[in-house]
Amino acid sequence: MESVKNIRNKASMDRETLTKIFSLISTIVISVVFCAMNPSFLGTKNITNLLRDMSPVLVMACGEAYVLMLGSIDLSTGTVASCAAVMMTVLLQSVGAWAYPIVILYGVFAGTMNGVLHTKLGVPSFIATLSTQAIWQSAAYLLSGGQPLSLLPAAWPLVNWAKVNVLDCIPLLFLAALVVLLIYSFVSRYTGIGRTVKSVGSNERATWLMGQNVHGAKILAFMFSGLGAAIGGIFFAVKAKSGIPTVGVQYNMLGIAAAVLGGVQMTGGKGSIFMTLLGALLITIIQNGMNVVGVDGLWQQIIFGALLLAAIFMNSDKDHKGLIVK
Amino acid sequence: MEKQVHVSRIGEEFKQEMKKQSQRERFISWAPVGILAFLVVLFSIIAQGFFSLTNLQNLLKQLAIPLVMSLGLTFVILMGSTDLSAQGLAGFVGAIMALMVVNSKNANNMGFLGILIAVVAAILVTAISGIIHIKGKLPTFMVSYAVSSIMQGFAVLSYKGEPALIRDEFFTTMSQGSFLGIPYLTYIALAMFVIAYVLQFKTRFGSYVMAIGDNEGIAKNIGVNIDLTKFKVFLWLGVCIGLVGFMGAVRLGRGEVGIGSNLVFPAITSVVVGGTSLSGGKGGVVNTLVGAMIVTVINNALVLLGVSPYVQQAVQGMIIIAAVAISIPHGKNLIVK
Repeated sequence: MESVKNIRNKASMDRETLTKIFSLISTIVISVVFCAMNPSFLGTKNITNLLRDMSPVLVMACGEAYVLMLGSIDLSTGTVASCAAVMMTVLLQSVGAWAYPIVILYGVFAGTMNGVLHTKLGVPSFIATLSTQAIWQSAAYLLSGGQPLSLLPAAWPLVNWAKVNVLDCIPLLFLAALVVLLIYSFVSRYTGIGRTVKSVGSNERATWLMGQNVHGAKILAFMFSGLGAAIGGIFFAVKAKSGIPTVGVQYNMLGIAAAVLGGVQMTGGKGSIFMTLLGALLITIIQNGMNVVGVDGLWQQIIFGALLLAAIFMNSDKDHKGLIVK
Repeated sequence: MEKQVHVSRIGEEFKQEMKKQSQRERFISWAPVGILAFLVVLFSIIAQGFFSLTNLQNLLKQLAIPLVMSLGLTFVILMGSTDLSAQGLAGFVGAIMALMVVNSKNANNMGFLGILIAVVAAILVTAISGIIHIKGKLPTFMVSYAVSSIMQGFAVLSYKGEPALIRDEFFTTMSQGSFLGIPYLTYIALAMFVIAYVLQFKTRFGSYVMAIGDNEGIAKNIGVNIDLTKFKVFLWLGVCIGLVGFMGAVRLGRGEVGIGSNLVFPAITSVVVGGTSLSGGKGGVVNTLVGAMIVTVINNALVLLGVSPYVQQAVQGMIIIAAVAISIPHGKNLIVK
């Protein structure tokens, strides 16, 4: 009996690692294909570009991964990032470097608001975040007057760090994103409340019966998501030296896709924050690679959708027969 | 003697408790209607021109497309799934339809056949994404996002640059004509509502969908063909998206990819505001009708009130949160995702 159980455990562990490795394999396969089509894809210059493009996706995705782990969804990250980018551009010109902590606080506020609306009012996260998404979009438009704002040269010294590369090819921006990822990953793995987030996702009632702080964990997850989105917005602003009120819109879904590709399940309870790194890498490689290879603009969306579908299929958990997928 | 009194008291208490609970449930199920009535009264007082015959006609016209879209999504949501594919797919349907009827870009004149082909194309696409979801065991949210992106690409590709202007007379009559003061498009939407009502309450398919949404495991064990039912839901969604693409092309007079934008999330909102649970198994098409009316009334009134377009979205979002918070059941043990 004992040995059968052990073997079973071992087999399922192997499957889990396999799913994890799949993301890596698909990343490598896609990279090799792009590289074969245009060798400059893996040149130092393009790798720097790729890592820089990836930074906002990465921070937004690892915040989103927290919420997905609950089995909830956050649809507001895109517009929180847009609003943060606009705020950043406005504030850098008026209060200087204080803009950074203020925008980060804004992210914490926006996320906590989602969490409180969801837990205290009992509104499904889908609707709560869809509504706050509309609110932040309006705020971004009002703040920018509906037009893209560009940063005045006087404030450029405050954002020039985004141009710095460590070791000639790794952008500082990417290292900043990596630090965020590591902190998020650490909280999720080694702190009580971080683990509660995951356990709420797999069985909310049991977690509550165990005396865990379910509402606290939920609010924390949404707070992290808002924070990640705001940091993403800061990245957009410093990268382009401008605040565009719609810059983050499509990044909402990209963040969700990256988290799912990293192995987080939308029904909650499964996945790891750290693997979001691979998901974000995969998404960025697909987008960047199509540009490098020179795919016709009209075809890009079609190929992106098809590759995304293939990647999700490769990463999905297919070995449970009775698995219920919604 | 004393024991008997005790027992009867427990029975009495139980009865009262049950009565209270059913009352609460009835209150919750009527809450969306109450919200709609409240909003109509409120806007009649504060918005000039809201309570008039012309605006009623406007409202009916504005209701048509969102209602059909939400009716399609209702069954998907009743199963506990979500679908975003309409975003690209409705635009695709409109775009290819415009290219097949009399238009400014080519010499095609297929008339009804063109409309039929476009609608069938929509059904085919949702059928394929349904199969990917069912057989590949991938979450509908992600599959439909990818499908939406692909179809958006094909829509833009089909007309390459300038969208085709529709010159077919049938489309002009459809967009402007009305019968008994009600626009033609609204009749289509109401007909779809009747069909959806019959599907949900008079067929086995409707009960199966509810059963799957409530508890897929149990539904499977009592012998419901889960895969087939899910597939049928996607076919129904395809019919609705096809019609939405057609109606969008009629209203716009152009076959543009933009027909599908800003369609899906408001439709999901309508379904939820009406009282259908996102986790599935609760609610239905009647709730959706009320929900679509609530969202349409809010949109219409905000325009009449002259709220700046930048702020409109935000105000709408706040009203929706409040409406949903009132109309959904509350409880300590309730799990909301």
